[in-house]
Amino acid sequence: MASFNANIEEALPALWRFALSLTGNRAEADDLVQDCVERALTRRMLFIPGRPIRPWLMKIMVNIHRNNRRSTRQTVDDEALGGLLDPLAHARMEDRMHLADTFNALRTLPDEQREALLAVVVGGLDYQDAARTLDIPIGTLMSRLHRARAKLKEQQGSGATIVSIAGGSS
Amino acid sequence: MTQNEANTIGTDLLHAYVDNQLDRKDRTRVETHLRDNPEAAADVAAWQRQNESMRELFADAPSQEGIAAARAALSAPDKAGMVSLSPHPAWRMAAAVTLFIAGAALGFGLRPTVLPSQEMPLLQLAINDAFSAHRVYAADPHRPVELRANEEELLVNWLSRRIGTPLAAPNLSGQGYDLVGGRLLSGDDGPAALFMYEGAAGDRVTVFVSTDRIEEFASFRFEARDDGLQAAHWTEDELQFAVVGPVDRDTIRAMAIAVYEQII
Repeated sequence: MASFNANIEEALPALWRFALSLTGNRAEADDLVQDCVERALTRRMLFIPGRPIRPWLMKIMVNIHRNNRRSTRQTVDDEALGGLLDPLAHARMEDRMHLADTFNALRTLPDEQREALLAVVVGGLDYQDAARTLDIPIGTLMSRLHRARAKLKEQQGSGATIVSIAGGSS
Repeated sequence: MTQNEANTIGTDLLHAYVDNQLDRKDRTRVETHLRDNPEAAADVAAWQRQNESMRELFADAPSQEGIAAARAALSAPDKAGMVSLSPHPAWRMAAAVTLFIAGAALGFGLRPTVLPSQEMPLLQLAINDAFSAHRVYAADPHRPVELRANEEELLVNWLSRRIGTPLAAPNLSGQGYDLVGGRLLSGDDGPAALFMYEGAAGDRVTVFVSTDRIEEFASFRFEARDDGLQAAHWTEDELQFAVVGPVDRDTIRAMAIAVYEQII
């Protein structure tokens, strides 16, 4: 029992970063982590002791996030971007531009491609766990990763996303 | 490396290289391949830059507040199978219901100390439905199911359509139970699906999936009945799940975990 909670606690920073990457907003990341932890506590008996807890938690988080998204279809707004980028104020201007560019490019990806990319890159999951977390076959994960990266490359090459920062478009 | 070997480097392997998921041998293979394939090398370099940007973008120190709130939830006293306070409305209701594990002393898993007006009876009804469905159909020698497992695809499509959400028949073969088939039932105010399984000894286990609305706080719980039936019940978003069978608690839990992992 104690180790279940301790393991969740240990995973909190990683969990929070993953939540930030999914929501793009610090306040929403806080809420998502909180919801995830609370749900995890009620699901304690559905966890197999000894298994790695991070993929298990991330799966819960992805499901909550998907449901939230279904109920309130969020659009990308300047506020979300501000909430994310504020803490980057110390970064050099070029870096901030570049990161804003990355952020916006990510936002333009279809949800399922973005989730695949974030689970692997930010969540740090191996492909097996990422596929399980997203509830998709590993082949689907790979093709989503591929399409996501191709699209990001295309966009970042064009610089078109810079415009969308100013416009705050979705 | 021969040309032939180099050709076996597929896109998946390139992604795995970028994501640092290869052992040393494969890494070397990919690196050799990249030296001779500038186009692939350019892709890999671009993907690596993307990864770095993404990590930097979200490398931010976690919000102190967010982490502290989550820690508080974790260290609240004795919340085994219980829900804790939260700022969200659904959870505020949940907090009104203090559940505690009574365990063996009370003869079943969780018992409410406070009965809110409507929610607990609904939950109790749902669990009773699952027990009743099990009793009626698992014991039926003639027609325990409407559609047999050999028509699994038909069964699953049909149930999914009636339930209104994509369902798959959970696989319990890891627990020694094979799918017999399933049927459609009606819950209190919506359709429900019943999947039936049989063990080597001919004993039957059912998985009850219902669309009846229960608030999220219906957390995982066990219930046992005098006739030797054991149930595990939980909700997952819009659906409720119950696994029922004449087995012990550890077995029912293992089956619940199998269903949970396959369904969400």
